[in-house]
Amino acid sequence: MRNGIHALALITAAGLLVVSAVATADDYPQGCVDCHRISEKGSGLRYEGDFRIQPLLAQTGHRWLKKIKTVPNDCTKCHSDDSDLPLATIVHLVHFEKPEANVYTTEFGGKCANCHAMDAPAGEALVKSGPKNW
Amino acid sequence: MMRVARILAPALLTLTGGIALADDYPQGCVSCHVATEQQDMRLNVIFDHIEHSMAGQRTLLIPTGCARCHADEKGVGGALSKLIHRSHYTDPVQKKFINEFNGDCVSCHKMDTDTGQAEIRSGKRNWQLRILSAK
Repeated sequence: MRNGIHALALITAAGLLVVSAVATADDYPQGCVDCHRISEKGSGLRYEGDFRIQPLLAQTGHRWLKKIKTVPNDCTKCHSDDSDLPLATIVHLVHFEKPEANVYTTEFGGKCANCHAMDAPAGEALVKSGPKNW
Repeated sequence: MMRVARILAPALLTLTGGIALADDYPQGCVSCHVATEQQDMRLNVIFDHIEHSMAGQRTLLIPTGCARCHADEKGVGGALSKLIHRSHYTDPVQKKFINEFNGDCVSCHKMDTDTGQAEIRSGKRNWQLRILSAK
């Protein structure tokens, strides 16, 4: 599990490199796919490259995300809370493990609200989601 | 229950001065809900105002012990997480908790960076049981 998490840590860091400043909730209304995207030269973003999740995961040896349509909702088909690799655990670890050296916390504020939204009337924290961008 | 939560949240916000940082409130609720010279905003005092049952006064660990009645799904008093989230993120409280005090998730939660689990900050009650108090 740790190897997988370390691989995903690289993905997370890569995803973070595409964002240009300290993230705020409104900057990433769709969560993962708002951060993990293509940053082209001249876009004004701090880093350039393809930081979408599919190509990044491919580099780690993860199976092709053939059936994924909505991210990260559809990821829970395999990574449910009851699975050996719950998505929440994986994503939390790659974003917060070794916070003193983790780009997510050191450079981008480590905000929960980048990935989560609050449904205030219901009093429930939600996971932001959006259609895949690959 | 909503009434309880709506009273607790502004009370907390009134008490805290300045920008709320994670390190400022290592024990969550009781790190923020304290007594000052100006106001006594400890939870036990607020419980009295809202006519909460005595179970609140007897709770040792806050908010861990609140789960006796406010557990998710099966809590007879309603899920504490929903009550607290609503009270901190709905208007008019929202403006203070978020905009004035920069309150956010880590005011009450912390991340276990070894396990990847988001935890709830907790601490021992900061009031004396009434039954033990000198009359």
